[in-house]
Amino acid sequence: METSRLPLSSSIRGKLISAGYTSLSSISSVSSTDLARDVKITESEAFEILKMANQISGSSSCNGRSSSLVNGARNAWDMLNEEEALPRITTSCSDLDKILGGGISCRDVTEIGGVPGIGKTQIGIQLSVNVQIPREFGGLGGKAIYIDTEGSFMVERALQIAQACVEDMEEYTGYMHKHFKASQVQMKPRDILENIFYFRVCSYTEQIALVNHLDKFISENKDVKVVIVDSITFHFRQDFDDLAQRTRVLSEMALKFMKLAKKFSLAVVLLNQVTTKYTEGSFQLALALGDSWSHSCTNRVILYWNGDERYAYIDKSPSLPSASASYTVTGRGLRNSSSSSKRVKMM
Amino acid sequence: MNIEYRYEFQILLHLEYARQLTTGCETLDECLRGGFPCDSLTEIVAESGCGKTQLCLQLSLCAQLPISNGGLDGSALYLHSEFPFPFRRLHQLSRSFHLSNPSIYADHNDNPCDHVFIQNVHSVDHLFDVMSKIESFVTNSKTRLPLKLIVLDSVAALFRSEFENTPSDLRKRASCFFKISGKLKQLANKFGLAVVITNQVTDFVESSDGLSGLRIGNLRCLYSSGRRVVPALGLAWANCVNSRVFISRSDDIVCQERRDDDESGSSLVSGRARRRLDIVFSPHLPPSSCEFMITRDGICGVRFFLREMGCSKSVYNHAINFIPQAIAFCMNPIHLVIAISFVVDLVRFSHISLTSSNLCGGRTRYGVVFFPALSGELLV
Amino acid sequence: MAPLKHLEMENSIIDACFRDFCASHGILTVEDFLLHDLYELAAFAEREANADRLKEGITVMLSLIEVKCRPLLNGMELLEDLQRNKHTLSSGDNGADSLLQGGLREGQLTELVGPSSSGKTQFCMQASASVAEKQDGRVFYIDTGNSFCARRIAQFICGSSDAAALRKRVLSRISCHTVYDIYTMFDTLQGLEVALRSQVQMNVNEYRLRLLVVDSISSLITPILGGSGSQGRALMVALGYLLKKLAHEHNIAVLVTNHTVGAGESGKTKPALGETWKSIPHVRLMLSRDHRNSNCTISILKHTSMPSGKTVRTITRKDNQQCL
Repeated sequence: METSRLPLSSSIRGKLISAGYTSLSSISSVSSTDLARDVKITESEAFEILKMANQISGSSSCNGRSSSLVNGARNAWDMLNEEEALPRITTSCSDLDKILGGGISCRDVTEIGGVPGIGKTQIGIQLSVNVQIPREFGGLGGKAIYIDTEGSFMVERALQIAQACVEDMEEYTGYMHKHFKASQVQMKPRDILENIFYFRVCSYTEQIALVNHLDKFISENKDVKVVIVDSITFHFRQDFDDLAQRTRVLSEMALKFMKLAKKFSLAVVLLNQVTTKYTEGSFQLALALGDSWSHSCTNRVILYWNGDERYAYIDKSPSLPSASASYTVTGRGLRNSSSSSKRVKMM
Repeated sequence: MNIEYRYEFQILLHLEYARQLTTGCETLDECLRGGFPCDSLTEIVAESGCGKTQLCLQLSLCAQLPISNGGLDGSALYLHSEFPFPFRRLHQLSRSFHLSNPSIYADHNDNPCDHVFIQNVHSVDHLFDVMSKIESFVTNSKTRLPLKLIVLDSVAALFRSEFENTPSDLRKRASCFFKISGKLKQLANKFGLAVVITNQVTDFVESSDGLSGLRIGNLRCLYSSGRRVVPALGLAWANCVNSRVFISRSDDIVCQERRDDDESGSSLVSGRARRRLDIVFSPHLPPSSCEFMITRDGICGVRFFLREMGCSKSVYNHAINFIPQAIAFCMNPIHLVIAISFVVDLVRFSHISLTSSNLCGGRTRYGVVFFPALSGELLV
Repeated sequence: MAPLKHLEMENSIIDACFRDFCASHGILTVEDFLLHDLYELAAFAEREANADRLKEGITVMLSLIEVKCRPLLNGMELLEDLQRNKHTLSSGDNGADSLLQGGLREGQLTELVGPSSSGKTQFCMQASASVAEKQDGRVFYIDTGNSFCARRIAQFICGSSDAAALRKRVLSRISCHTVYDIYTMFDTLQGLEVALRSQVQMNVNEYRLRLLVVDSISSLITPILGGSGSQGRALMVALGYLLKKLAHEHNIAVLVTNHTVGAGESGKTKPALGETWKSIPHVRLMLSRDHRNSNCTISILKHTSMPSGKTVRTITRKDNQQCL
């Protein structure tokens, strides 16, 4: 299998494999004349192959102590520095940002789930507006991709939120320039709407095709910084003849999202629905799509009602502690809830 | 397999597409910020007798209004699963609709009923069958107005008997929901249709796992006719619709009329029950509600604006003082009833105590009017 | 498999006529030789003209093969090997250590099973931090789900003084590799094997590799299991054996995580990857988390030297231990 990694022409590679040289160690243990005789290639070609094989296997062992053992592995210290420099997308609700460690992290797949009417689409629209906040205001200055599978995206609502965002930015510039008067900002609400790439999918095949296409799309639009899917489950809750096939398709899709997030350093936000699951003899609430899907995302946030308030709870995260915070949905978008007592509850 | 897909990421175009279908009643339209949206599934949840079918019939007629008047300039497909279909009521509404909008039909000499296509569905499989034919119906039909509205009344009746309560049957039922919803949304998206689905309620029963009382949307509990109810079909169906509105009725009759004199005429009890529409959840509407009544000509709203505007107390006071004169100008019982309900709501939601001087101004040609409901609310 | 003519260089007895004789019986490679009935071959050789030479050739072949195959060890040698080479690594969590009588054992494949967000990744990161810091070993972390978080590992390191330099030292001993599918995994592991082998030869191990973490192995295998064909299962078994071989030969502790799936109508959960995988790891631990009070429970499903079923309550979620 490793021989296929060598940058050779396919005919030579085929000859190597059929002669029995499938791993690099088998190539490196033989001399060039033998190799040439066995595989029926010229000696110079055999020499080249051996040089390449030794280079690949040798380079990882002849370095000093602090290097990685295998090509492609990275040192945790370098990763720490990288992680601390990663930007985050604010949700416009400071309590929510606090429990998320500053906002939705880029390079991660975050799943947000809740009952209908709790505000998942609102969070999605808010994030697709907030990602466009320019860098001088502390944002990412990027664009957004919004994949709508349910038809919940309402342009009037997005316009409302975009207008509120622009107004906030204008107030902030006034504050920064210390004259406390709102001044004009370059961005206009219509510009914000133009920077949201909106895709509507009406079946699961369209959804899969679109996800496959995203790599190419994002390579052409490098400033996309967030991909929001609302919701990831809708088309997959219909009749699937073979549940195992559904699991496979979903895990492949999750994999593609993870690769996208890592490759382009963007945040992927998947909105999910809630269903009742029959476990241990009773019905309980759980996110849709089953157990195997729950392992496909890096972070998970669950939205729920507590009395008359909306709360968000960090259910799964490699680095954040479990905590919950309350938020409200206002005409201007997502904001802190007005109740002042113990808004952020650490578990 | 060649999948043809279009990437329409010009959402600014949607600003032009995003149409709404008026309900024919100003109050309801205001509550819904224009009406029922296109390219979206809206669900109307109500117990029987609240007016869902009335509203749906009215919508089927309003769809034929020109776009400038808030309609969709299109015809409607009415899928009904409950028997019998109210043909007579449809004709009644259609007649008054025709009278108020003659210009639409003058040139072509037809009437509103010609543009409402009625199809009955008696089971889930039948519904799938019908839905598969809708697309060809839309593309191939030679009707004057294109199809712009689909009404499904009601979805709960289809699932009443076919499925049992075991987990596997419930799973199968849930996958049917998503299939129906997916197909309808696909049609709505492709042809820019508005889709309205009605649903029923069941009584709230406290269950051990607490899931029956699960809060979905803006209202903690749904009350109708004085008892607590829960929308039918559960959480799975709630995930399938884009917006949900709840229509409820309260048992208090708005007013009773008595006659001072001893005429032997029948005491007219204007028992128009109060009906209320609440927004349960919606991606573009804030939580709000409004009240309406059903009259012979259709649905008619009760003006309710002061609460939403959040006016100050002084304005309320001013308005209260104005009421006695307003009542005195009522010309017929209907106006009287409307004005009285307005006062009742005004009092209830502004928490202002009424002095008897304000009250007793209500002396009109129809005799002294009693406010039975008010006495309770004054204690608020 | 190497063809016979390869062996001619060192052993002149395996010459062309020997090879022709073998070829006439369908033996072209060493593998064919092994599979063939040797008594029958010897009997045929008897009848040939140069019978002695041929029989000598067969004997030489057999001795070559013996040399190549692994030496037999007796029990005492195994015990010595165990005591000298296969140490126990602390997993960083006292509860788990006491449950496992010391911790993770080198040379063994330990599997962590648990439902989502039960703390498997946290356990893996804690173990990596502990091995890198306290046991002065290197850690190779294979991450399949973007869940490796260097910041969290830094929180697990609790040093007393000179915090920043300690962190840098410890973190530089942990290397993380992202792998998304099983073929890349095989490549990575084979590359690791080559690197380790050459390291042994060069004796460069100031910090030798002590812990290999795969988080999670089920997300690599589940996509290929099922469907038509049984290659999925074959690949899974091959991967398991490769991990065990790495563990044994190079004295590494291998830690993998697995998730759970629902089991039929009863709703109970069981580990994913099925029955075939069950027998591959040496030690299987089940993690479960009580969401109300965020306590994690570890119980033993299978262990080579301990009874299953013991549980220990461990309190994890050591959040925000700011050692900065």
